[in-house]
This record gives sequence, C-alpha cells and structure tokens, in this order.
Amino acid sequence: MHEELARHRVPRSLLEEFHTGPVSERAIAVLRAGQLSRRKLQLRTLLDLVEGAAAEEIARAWQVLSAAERRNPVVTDELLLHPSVGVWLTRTLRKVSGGLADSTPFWAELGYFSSVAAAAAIRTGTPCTLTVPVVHGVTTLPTVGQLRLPTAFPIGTAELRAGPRRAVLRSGNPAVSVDFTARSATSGFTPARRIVAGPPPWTLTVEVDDHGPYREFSAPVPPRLLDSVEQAEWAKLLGEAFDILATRHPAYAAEISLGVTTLVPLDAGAPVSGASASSAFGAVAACPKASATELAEVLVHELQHSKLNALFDLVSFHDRDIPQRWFYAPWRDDPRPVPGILHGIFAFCSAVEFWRYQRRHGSAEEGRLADFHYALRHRQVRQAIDVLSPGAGLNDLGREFVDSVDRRLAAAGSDEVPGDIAEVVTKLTVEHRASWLLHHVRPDTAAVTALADAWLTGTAPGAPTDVPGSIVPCCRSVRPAARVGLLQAGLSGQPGSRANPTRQPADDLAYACGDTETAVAGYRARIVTNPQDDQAWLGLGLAMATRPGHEDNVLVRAPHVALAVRDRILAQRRTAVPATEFAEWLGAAVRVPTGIS
Amino acid sequence: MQTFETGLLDLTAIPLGELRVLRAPDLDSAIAGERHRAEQPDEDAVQVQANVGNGFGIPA
Repeated sequence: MHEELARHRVPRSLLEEFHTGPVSERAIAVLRAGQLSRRKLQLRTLLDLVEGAAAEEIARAWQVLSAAERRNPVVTDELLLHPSVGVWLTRTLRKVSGGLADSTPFWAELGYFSSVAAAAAIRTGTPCTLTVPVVHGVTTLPTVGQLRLPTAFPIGTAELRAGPRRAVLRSGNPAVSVDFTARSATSGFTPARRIVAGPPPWTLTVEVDDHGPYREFSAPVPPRLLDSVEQAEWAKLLGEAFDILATRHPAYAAEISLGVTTLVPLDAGAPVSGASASSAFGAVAACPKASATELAEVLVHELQHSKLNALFDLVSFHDRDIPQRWFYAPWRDDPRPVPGILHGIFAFCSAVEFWRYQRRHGSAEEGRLADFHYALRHRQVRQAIDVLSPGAGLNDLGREFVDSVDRRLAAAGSDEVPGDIAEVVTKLTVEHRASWLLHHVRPDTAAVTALADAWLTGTAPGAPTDVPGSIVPCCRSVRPAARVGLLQAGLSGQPGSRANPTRQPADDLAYACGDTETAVAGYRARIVTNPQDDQAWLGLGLAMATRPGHEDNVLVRAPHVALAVRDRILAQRRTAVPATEFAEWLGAAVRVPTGIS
Repeated sequence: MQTFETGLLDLTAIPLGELRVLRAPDLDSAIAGERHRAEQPDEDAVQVQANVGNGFGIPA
C-alpha cells in the first residue's frame, strides 16, 4: 500500500511560456508526461469498472502490455500516448459509466485495448496470443498498421499470434490468415505510414492516420486508405506548409515539430479546415483542399488547442465550483463556457500572429486573404477578451493567462488593412454578435412588457432602462441571411457571384455592396409586408449602423430586446410598427449595454 | 525554480504491472474523479475550425 502518491508539478516557467504562445521542448515534455499519467489513470479506472469476461479480456491484454513495457517502456509509453488510445479510453469510460450510448458494440470498443497490447508486443518482440476485434473488415494495430483478412465478414474477432519477428492473424473456419512483419506491406497488411518534412535542421515526423477507427475523435469510422497519389499530395502539402513555418514562423515550427505527432487526412468534402480533440494530444485533422499556407495555420491553431487541453489536465484557470456560465464566442454560433473562450482566444491569437506575418508574403490575392484573416481574428479575440473579463470566475492563473493574450494581441498591432476588408470584417462581426443575441438571449419579460405598453400608449421614453437578459440557447430561431456569403464573395470583388445575383435578395445584395439607402428602403419594405420578418429587422439595423452616429443602434446592439418588444406589440394590437421610428424610440428607452447572465 | 503542485497523480514511473494492483487512497480518489468526469456530457471534446468562406464562424 502506497502512503501517498506523487503529483505532477508544473514549473512557473511553463505557464510563462504559454503567455508568449509557442512553448519549448521542456514544456511539451511536461504536457506529454501529464497526458501519460492521465491515460494510465483512465486505463486503471477502466480496469476497476469492467466486470466478468470483459475484465478478463482487459487483464489479458494488460499482461501483454506490461510484458512489452519490461522490454521497452519507450514503445509502450508511445502507444499509450497515441491519440487513438486517448479517444478510445475516453469513449469507453463514458460508455461503461453510462455517459455515452451509441450503436458501436461494446465488445468491439473494449477489444481495442487488445489491439494496443498486440501492437506493443509486435514492436517489442514480445510473444503473445490475443483476441483482437475486426471492425469494418479490418484489424487496426496502432502505430503498426492495418490488417485486412481475406474473408467476407465485416465484423468479429480474430486471433493474433506474435512471435519475436513475425505475427499471424487468423480467423474463421476454415481459417484464413495474414502473415506479416511490422515494416513490410503485404496483400493483407498495410504498415502505418509516416511523412517526414522540414528543411534542415528542422524535422517534422507525423504518422498519417488514414486507417485508425478513432482517428476522427469520435465513434469508430471505416478506414479510408490514401492511394499513392493522395499520399504524395499530402507529403507535398505538408512539406510546403512546414517550410512556411520553418522560414517565417520558427517558434511555431519548433513546437509543431515536437508536439504534432499525427495528421488525420479529412475527406475533401469536409466543411472544416482543421480539428483537434481534448483526448487526442498531438493529433491534427486537416482537409486536403487547404493551401500550404492554410495548412500551416491549421497546424499552428490546432496545436494551441492540444497544448491547452493538456495544460487543463494539470491546472485550472477558473473556479470549477461556481455554476457554469455561458459567454459569447465571436467564432462560434453557440454560447460557450469559460474554457471554450480561453481556447478560442489562445488559438486565434496565434492565428493573428501567423496572418500578420503572412501579409508580407505571397501574391496580391494571398495578401488580401491574409489581411482578412488577420483583421477578422484580431477583432474576434478583442471582442472575446472584453466579454470574458467580468464575472467569468477566473482564478489568478486564468487572469494572468487572459492578460497575456491581451498583451500578445496588442503586440500584434492593429495594423491598417485595406478599407474594403476592414468594412467587411466590421459588418461580419457586428452581424454575428447581433444574430447571436437574437438566437440565444431571452430578455426579461416584465421589462419587455413595460416597453411595449409604453410604445402602445405613446409614452415618450424616459430615462433609459436596463433590460436584463438570460442566455437560453436557441430560444429564438434565426434563419441565415444571404448577406454573410455576399460579403465574403465581395472580398474577391464578386458580390453575388457565388450564385445567380438575380436570386439574391436585393436588400442583402445592396447592403453587401455598400448601398446603404437601397438596403434600408428594401428592408423597410419587407417589414411592411411582413412585420415579423426578423432578418429584415436585423438587416435594417445593420444597414442603419453603416450611417455615422448610428453604429450602435438598438437593432444591432439589442436585437433580442427590440424584436421581443415588437412581438409583444404585434400580439396586443395587430397594427403596423413603423420600423425606423420604433428603433429610434426604443434606442432612447434602453440603456447600453443590456445585462446578460 | 518555482513550481505548482497539480491535482494530477504522477503515474509516469509506475510500471503497468504495478499499477494494475496498486491500492492507495489518492488513486481511489483520482479514479472516482475519472468516473465522475466520464458521466458528464463532454461538449468541448472536439475543437473544430470551420473553413473561412464556407460560412462565417460556423463549426461543422
């Protein structure tokens, strides 16, 4: 019996490194050690939770893994730290604990541990016999490769016998088998593939995970092995991306070469450019359609999430005992908790630094793209820091962290970008916040009623009043407007070019093109036709906001209040609400800012 | 060098064979913490960066 087990200690210098963005090899080692402890703890928790035959299966695989560890602990540590093991452990524990239910058979999930142990045995030359799962027709041995048995059945189990130099996977009756070594491809075996990139003295070595069931950080997915052309394209793209980092962003290149271990190629049709997961330290999923510059930014961005996830397993930046509060995140449509905001400001601050430097390189078109990213992310991080400051429950470490991002943002300047780009960024960010308020904030009913009654009785606004609001996710349905796409298309000088311009709402097109008066007239006409057309009201506020002195009008500052009061007026008397007059009256009646909790 | 003690047990140097049978109050407490964590919804498990140009700030 141990009296007391040691706990991880975090040097103050590690936190100070986080304050600057990129971190050192020593810091990555501290984070990785924390992740190893967490995986071991999760494994032991799983052992304690499972019973019966499942417990026997875990125990058998544990014995093999333990024997492999005695031969070479570096290999077993590497396997335990493999991103797939983190995703698998987190999913399996949640399933055993009742926190997750899906259609994946539990035996297949649990059996992945035997695959991990088998991989360790093969890599260390530890003789063993294990039953491993066959899912989607294949058995995956993390860091070793994928085996496809020459049988028709897509799911089941197979027996894996590993010797000092060779291994055999057998299944079915009559038995079929795949005989393989860990390094050579055969008809049934595809070894794990790696890409090595980087100009000397830099080296980035990543496993290309196109086959692991947990590679997309979720329920098991079928393998999608890259063909030789795709492999070559990924190697080229990653090489070019890492060259950009090594030559222009060396501090980020250094930490990426240490921290990113796995690249997950996403399907070209995926609507994301990059992804990472709290349970998969070191893994970055990326979409192949990204340019080398965009892939470089994805690597920088996603590693910040990975680092922060690992740091949050060691220290907390906020008081976990206070009730969870939700905040506005300018880069997301949904309300986010404090850790989500911290993740966003940290990752996007790195994006600001990245794009600021990229503005000086590349073609004119690439320069405009960099300008846009720089200005957009800069504005978003600024907004988020301002939202987070009061009442977020940050502790001293959390406040220091936010202050450090604030300093980095200031150091990244507020550089001039071309006027049309600055205008689009302003319009996008103002619209996003207004839409979010409308979608997720419910204003106080009594205050709304009082305002509606005052309007209906023709009462002139008195002293501006507070209208408290509560965050109630998705409390009002908000249809997407065409404006957003038109604004982005306008950056390339082609507003409305994405689709037939004649099919776009004329008011949205006018707004995107900067024709305020046409836009205002169009939105007002829509409101006359349909007084409950929320997007017309929002569009009217956005168009009015482009007029000097009206930037903060009530329809963009507090659209949730304005439209709730409008709804109340329409419910009481089915009379038209003159939009501009109403907005001016309400703007005088409601104080800035409205409280949200 | 100033350091902070964290809440995470340092299991890095404990061999797997020993970890399997280890009994310690600290470990029991940490296991209880993992069980509690596993029972909670994990909405922040995956960070997704949307394509710019494919919808503004809209995660998949």
